[in-house]
Amino acid sequence: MASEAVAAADSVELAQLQRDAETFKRVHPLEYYRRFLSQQLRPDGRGLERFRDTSLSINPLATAHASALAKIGQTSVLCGIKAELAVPSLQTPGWGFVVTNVTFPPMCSASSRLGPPSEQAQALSRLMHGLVVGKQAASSTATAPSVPAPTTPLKSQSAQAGMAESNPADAGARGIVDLNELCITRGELCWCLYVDAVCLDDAGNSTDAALLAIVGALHALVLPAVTLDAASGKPGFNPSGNSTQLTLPATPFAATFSLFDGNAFTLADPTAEEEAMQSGAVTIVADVSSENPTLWTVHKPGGTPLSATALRQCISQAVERIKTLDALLQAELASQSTAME
Amino acid sequence: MATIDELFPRIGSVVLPGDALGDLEAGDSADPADGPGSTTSNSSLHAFTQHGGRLRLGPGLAQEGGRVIAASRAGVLQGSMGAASTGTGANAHSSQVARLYIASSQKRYVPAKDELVVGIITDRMGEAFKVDIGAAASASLSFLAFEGATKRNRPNLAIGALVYGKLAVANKDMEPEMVCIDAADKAAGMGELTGGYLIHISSGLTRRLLSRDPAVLIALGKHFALETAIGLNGRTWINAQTPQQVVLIANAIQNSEFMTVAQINAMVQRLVQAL
Amino acid sequence: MVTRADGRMPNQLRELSIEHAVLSRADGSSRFSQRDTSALTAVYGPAEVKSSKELLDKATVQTVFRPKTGLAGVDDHVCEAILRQALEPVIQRTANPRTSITVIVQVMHDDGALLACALNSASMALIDAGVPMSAVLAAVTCAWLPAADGSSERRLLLDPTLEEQTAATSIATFAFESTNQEIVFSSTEGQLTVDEYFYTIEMAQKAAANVLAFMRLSLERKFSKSV
Repeated sequence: MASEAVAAADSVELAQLQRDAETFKRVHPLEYYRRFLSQQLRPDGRGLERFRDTSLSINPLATAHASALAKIGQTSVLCGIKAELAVPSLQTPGWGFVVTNVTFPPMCSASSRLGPPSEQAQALSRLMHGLVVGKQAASSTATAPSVPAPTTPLKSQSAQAGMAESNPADAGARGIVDLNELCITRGELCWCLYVDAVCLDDAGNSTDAALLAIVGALHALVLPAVTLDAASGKPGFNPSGNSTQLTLPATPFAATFSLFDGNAFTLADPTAEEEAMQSGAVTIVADVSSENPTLWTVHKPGGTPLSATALRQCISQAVERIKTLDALLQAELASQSTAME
Repeated sequence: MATIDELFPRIGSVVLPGDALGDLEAGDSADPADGPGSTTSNSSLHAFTQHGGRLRLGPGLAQEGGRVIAASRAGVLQGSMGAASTGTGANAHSSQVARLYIASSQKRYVPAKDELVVGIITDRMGEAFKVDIGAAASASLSFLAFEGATKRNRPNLAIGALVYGKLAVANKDMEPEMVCIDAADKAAGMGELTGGYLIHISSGLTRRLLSRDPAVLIALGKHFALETAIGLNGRTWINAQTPQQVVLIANAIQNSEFMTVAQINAMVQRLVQAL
Repeated sequence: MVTRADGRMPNQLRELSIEHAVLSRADGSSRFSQRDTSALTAVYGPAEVKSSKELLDKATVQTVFRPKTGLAGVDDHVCEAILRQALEPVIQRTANPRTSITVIVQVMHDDGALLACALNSASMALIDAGVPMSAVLAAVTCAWLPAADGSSERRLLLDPTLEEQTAATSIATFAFESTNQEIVFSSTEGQLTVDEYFYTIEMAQKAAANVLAFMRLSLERKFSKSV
């Protein structure tokens, strides 16, 4: 009898506890997290260093020249590439153009609204653009990715002043895309790629997903053959000619970590909830195709101070993660090519 | 008996935000990066508190992580050793209080309880005035917080009027509250300021004007009668018999910020002669 | 050892100069120059905050980054965000809840390492305003340049000029806080190996300590005058 009473009390208590957990989370969200994190666990069941399940699908869109959909947990970013013919700018007759843009439409989260791009969108666009075209082209403000769709590439790029063309031997200054490859006829005709990444669902860590989608789409890109009509000098597509793919010698991926509760905890791949409470974040972009991993950027835009040792730990975790992303892309590309055959 | 300089060797020198000035717990295992002489200071500071000595931290200082005293503002570290008002212990240290603060100057006013301020009435809200005291939030001044004021007999202050009063409530989480009466319900010099002129000066200069012998005011007082209401919010109201004198006082006070006493006397002499 | 176009050693910073309280209306201001690169910062606060931006438990930090000429573009907005996020951890925001602290950086001239200069200038202006802080921020830019004599060894140059920055294959900017010399802000452009990255941090950390020492000296001079 006494034990029954205890059991009844237990179940009441359990229901109470579950209700309390919800209340507790609302009232003291940080303390709620701390209780989990001190057990090396997160409320969604992941360990602190675990990334969410990641998937990539190549060319889900039939209307774009190339596209890719990256999903990290619930977060999904769709990237589409549109290629247009343009005239190279006078300063860089041997280069094509790339305009990279990341947008957060109102549907992706409660915090994003219609109107001019948010600070987050601008910062992410800038980061992605820098990675895609490399240091030298990115240092020109004229390629500002916030311009939603420049009227003509010719006009939008004409302001690039005093810019040196990149020397391919400049290891360390390159981007994912070699702009020389986008040139069709020097000084006359080149490709302009509009790389548009749209965040469909922002459930945290859109940075990693955006770069994965962009890299996936660039790998899927096939540029049709173009010939110049000898008489009129006008460009035309040549269906019988050889279409080209970009070389893409190096493919970087991103891994983001969230600093939590000061810098007491480092959480890999934060969810939106964690991002709202984090005290800082580090995004590491690296390329692991060679033996020695190359860092493309280590981006810590402020937040809690971090020691070099802690940063080193993040980088080694990031390298492991990036290896799995690299394998994911290779597998996806392989299955794509077998499907084509 | 430890002197304040033994406890805090950096007294009198310039400190920056984040500088660790003393460790309450560490004995001799002090971080050498803390600054010159920190090792010796820490051990004696530890001993000081262990023997019942007390610490009073003034503006610009905070205890971090419960043990380290760190600066949160740049300025000159100042301190003094005094006797505690309630010290009754038998121990020699128990009656000692080390007072520590950072002398610095700032333009923006952060309200603190019991400080005298000069405010400008900006609005009437129900039973109180809204007063701009130059802080992040405006203060409220009840109609009843004047000498002799009753429900029937309300003070008649226009919007834009200057008032001199004391902050009865001032903390970071609440709207500051101002009163124009002291504990005995007397005005004691507070209330509306009529006529005169308002000048804005830094907090460092304000504190010097409020010191026991404010050189510039003494020098001016030798030549003509003047009236001041010095607000710790960086606003000082001045008045004299003629507008010329008012302008002279304003200039003299503002000029005196970076001067020595001799320089101040010479400067005042010069201004008065030109009058 | 190869010296640079302006005669400096690779790990040598340009001459620094700080002017405190240069603006009469601002609550705090400072002009920070690294020879020709120069930024002017005004700080207002803790002041009244717009109710839409009010935070119940801490101060709202707002930053404005004004380019030398023209309207602020995307890069300037990105700089604004960086400044805000880098300054927030060193400001004791809970000391003044429901207030705003506004930091306005005006670029005076850019001859390389502009972001570091802006961060240093903002750090000094916050101190001038007497805003409660937990540490001082000191920032440094580093650039990796291809070797001049054709060897494969790249050179690391501290505090690059605009010319060096244009020729650089990688650029990294770091901001350190003064208490434990930990990294508050890190941003890199161009590729680096992990070892190169940490070597850069190490060099930047040393340089930031020098910048901090200069800030301290300059403030000592300022306070010895006024007190």
